[in-house]
Formats: sequence, C-alpha cells, structure tokens
Amino acid sequence: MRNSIFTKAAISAAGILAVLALWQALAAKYPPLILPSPVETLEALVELWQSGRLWANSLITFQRTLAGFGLAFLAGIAVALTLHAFSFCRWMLQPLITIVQIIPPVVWIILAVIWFGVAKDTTVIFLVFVVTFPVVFINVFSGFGGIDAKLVEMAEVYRCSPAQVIIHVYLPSLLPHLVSAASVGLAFAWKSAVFAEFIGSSSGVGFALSMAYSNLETEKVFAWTVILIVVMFAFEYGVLGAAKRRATRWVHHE
Amino acid sequence: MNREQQAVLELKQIHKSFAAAGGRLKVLAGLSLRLYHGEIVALVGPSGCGKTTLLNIIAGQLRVDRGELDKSPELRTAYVFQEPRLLPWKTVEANIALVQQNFLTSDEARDFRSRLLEETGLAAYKDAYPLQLSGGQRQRLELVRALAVRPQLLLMDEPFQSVDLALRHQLQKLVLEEQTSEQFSILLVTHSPEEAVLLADRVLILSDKPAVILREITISTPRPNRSYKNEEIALISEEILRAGVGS
Repeated sequence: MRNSIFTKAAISAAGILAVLALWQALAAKYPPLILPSPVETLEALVELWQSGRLWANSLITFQRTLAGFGLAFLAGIAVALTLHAFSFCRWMLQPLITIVQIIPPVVWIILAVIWFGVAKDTTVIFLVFVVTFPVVFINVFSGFGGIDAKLVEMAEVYRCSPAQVIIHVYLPSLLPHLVSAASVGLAFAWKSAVFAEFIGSSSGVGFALSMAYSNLETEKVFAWTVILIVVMFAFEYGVLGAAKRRATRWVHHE
Repeated sequence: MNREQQAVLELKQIHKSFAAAGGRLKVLAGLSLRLYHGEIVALVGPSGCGKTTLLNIIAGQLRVDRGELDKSPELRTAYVFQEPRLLPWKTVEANIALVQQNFLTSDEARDFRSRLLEETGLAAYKDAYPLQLSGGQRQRLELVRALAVRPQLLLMDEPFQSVDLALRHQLQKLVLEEQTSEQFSILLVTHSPEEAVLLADRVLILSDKPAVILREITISTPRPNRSYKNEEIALISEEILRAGVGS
C-alpha cells in the first residue's frame, strides 16, 4: 500500500513537471505578453509578495469566500432539514432551488452590482452565496434520503430521545455528505468570489486580476492563478482531506 | 407458578393490514396472545405470515388498525433484529453503551457489558467497528446489545438464522442462562422447530396470512431433558413441521 501511494505521488509529480517543461518550451517562442515563462511568473509572485499585495488581496478574497460559503452552508442545511421534514415545502421550494441553480452566475453578478453596488463586500458575498447554496442543499438533502430508517427504529426501540437520534444516527449519516458539500461548495465558492471581484469589486484577488489584465501584465495574471491553485489545493487536501478521513473513519479503520 | 396475575403483555384481537397494489394486504386478523412474566414463547408459522409485523407492533414501531395492546409503557423492551441493526460509525462497545445509558447507571452498564462481551468472545473486538466484524460476530453483538440493557421483555426475530451450528448452540445457551438468572420474558420468532422446542415454554403456531393462532402447545418436559429421544419433544417437533414451518 505504502509503495503504491509513493508511486502515485511520483507519477503526479512527473505530470506537473512535464507541464512545466512544456510551458517553458512554449514560453521561449512567444513574447511574455502572450505567454510569460515559469521563471517570469515566479518573479511576479515574489514581487507581489514583497509589495504586500499578495497577502492583502488573498486575505480579502479568503474572508469573502468563507463568509458567503459559511452562510450558504448553514442555509443549505437548514433548508434541507425543513424540506426533509415537511413535504409541502419540498414541492414548493425544490423547483425554486433548481431555478436558482440554472441562472448563470453572470446574471447574478450583474444583479448584485445593481443591487449592492461595486466595491462592497456584499456584492461578492452575495454571489458566493447564490452559487454555493444549491450545491450544499443538494448534497445535504440527498444525505437525508440515505439515513437508514431501520437504525432510527432501533434507536427508538431502545428509547433514545430525539436528541440522541439526531446526534448518534442522523449526524454521523450526514457527515460524509456535509464534507462533500464543503468540498464541492468551496471550490465553487473560490471561483465565484474571484469572478465577482473581477467584475464588481475594487479589492481582492479578482480585482488584482482585472488590474493585471488592464495593465497588460500577463505574468501577474499567471502569478495570481498560481496562488489560487495553491490555496485550493491546500484546502482540498489539507483541511477537507482530514475532515473526510475523520468522517469515514469507521469504513477504513483497520 | 401463579402466572395468571403476571402477564407482561397481552394482545387482544389485533388487526393489521398494509397498503398494497390493488387494495390492502391483511396481515393479522384478530390475533390474541398473552405473555407471562419469565416465560419464553416461540412463534412459528409460514414465511411472511406476519410474525415480524407482530414483533414490530409490540416494540411500538407499528400501530394496530384495530384491537388492543396491553403493555406497560415502562416495560423495558429489547429487540434482536433479524438483520443486525448496528451503528456502523460506533465501535462495538459504543454501540452497546449508547442503548445502555437509557436504562442503567454507567458503572453497572460497564461491568455488565464487559461480562457479556467476554462470554461471547467479543471482548477482543470492543474497539472494532461493525464493518470489521464477521457476520456471526455482528449477530452476537446484536444479541449482546439486547441483553445488555437488562430487558424485561426480549423480542427476537430469527436471531440465530445466519450463524453456524456451534455458535447457535452457544448463543442459545447464553440466552437461557441470562433468562434464568434475570427472569425476563422472551417472544421468539423462529423458523426452526428445533429452536422452538429447545427454548420455549409455549409454542404458538400461526396460520398463513392473515395470521391467527392455529395451535398452542405447552412444553412440559424440563429444558435439560429436551432431545428428540424424548417422546413429547419428538411429537411437538413433528407437529410444528406439519404446520409447514420448517422452510
């Protein structure tokens, strides 16, 4: 097992190196305005770091992403719980949630700018919320369907209180779905935060991207992209990876 | 034995039907039975005749359409389900401890479950999760959990169906030992005439659905003497088999 993990990591690393090599080769043929080389991108990263803009903008985007996603996560759970408990709500709300999901993010960001204005955190947080709420809701709602009624019956026979049933049966059943909602939802959240900042904000990574674009600083566009990739990787494999292992420990435990 | 005053459970003229394609499926049609304190009653009958439905009604999981169920709400009931219903995210010990906490003090609970785990050979697995156990071990855990709450009424739905013969005898022995020392009542659904005559004080033979009680047999031979060499036991086994039970 150990070997195969190392083998997999080595193959993944080889793949990344191959792309870097290809990138370097292509960059030699084109001017930096079209395709900056990996080295130029790294230089841009260092410059952003030294100017302090890297942290300042990343932190702003990070806060907005978490705020929008946090709200969507809580609302998604609450609405899923309500719809699970009351079927008339299900018939009423489910089509609406599908509609929210179908509307393209660009429409939402236009509306957000009209409603909340540019340069406001609200605009970005709103878009993150609108994009990620259906993702969380759908994951959690399907989790409710997967709760084993026979286990609930068992708990009731042994006189478990509703609180005990929620803590010992419902929550552990839902946990993998909550983690998966967080995983998929956060990926969407980052992308929509950057997108919202690009169009409707005067700070954050998305705004920095739009500035780099206007000033024809292609190497900075690449540098910011590298930062986004690193942050998403760290989240997916660090925080969420640990949460996933914790949530399904009983399956893999040996 | 002055049993008349000590019924722990009485069902009077129970009717139950379920919605089914093209109307309602009648499962129980005016079934009555009484279970006394410290008594073991085996329910036998054709497959799908409503025995599990009956247990679920007694466990409070189903409502009757008509009829009366007399059972103290305080009656401490444990249920050995046909397929073990274990919480996969809790360890062996935590599965037991969870249900015990509603009935026993934590010291009493810990001592008692340690003893039961020891007796069933599960002590070494107390920190394992159910998915790591074999089918037989899960069945044992299901039984241990039921006994661990010190029940007054133990419902068992073909509890030893999927365990091998040696283990089955071991578990039957454990149930009898616990029942002898704690004097709880048992309602046992079984397909096995052997199990019925080995364990029960009374055997109730149910009809095909809608189920009513066709015949009630009281076994007078004391348990230690129950073997097929015994005339009464042999006759009763045959009678159960004739009712189309052993399938």
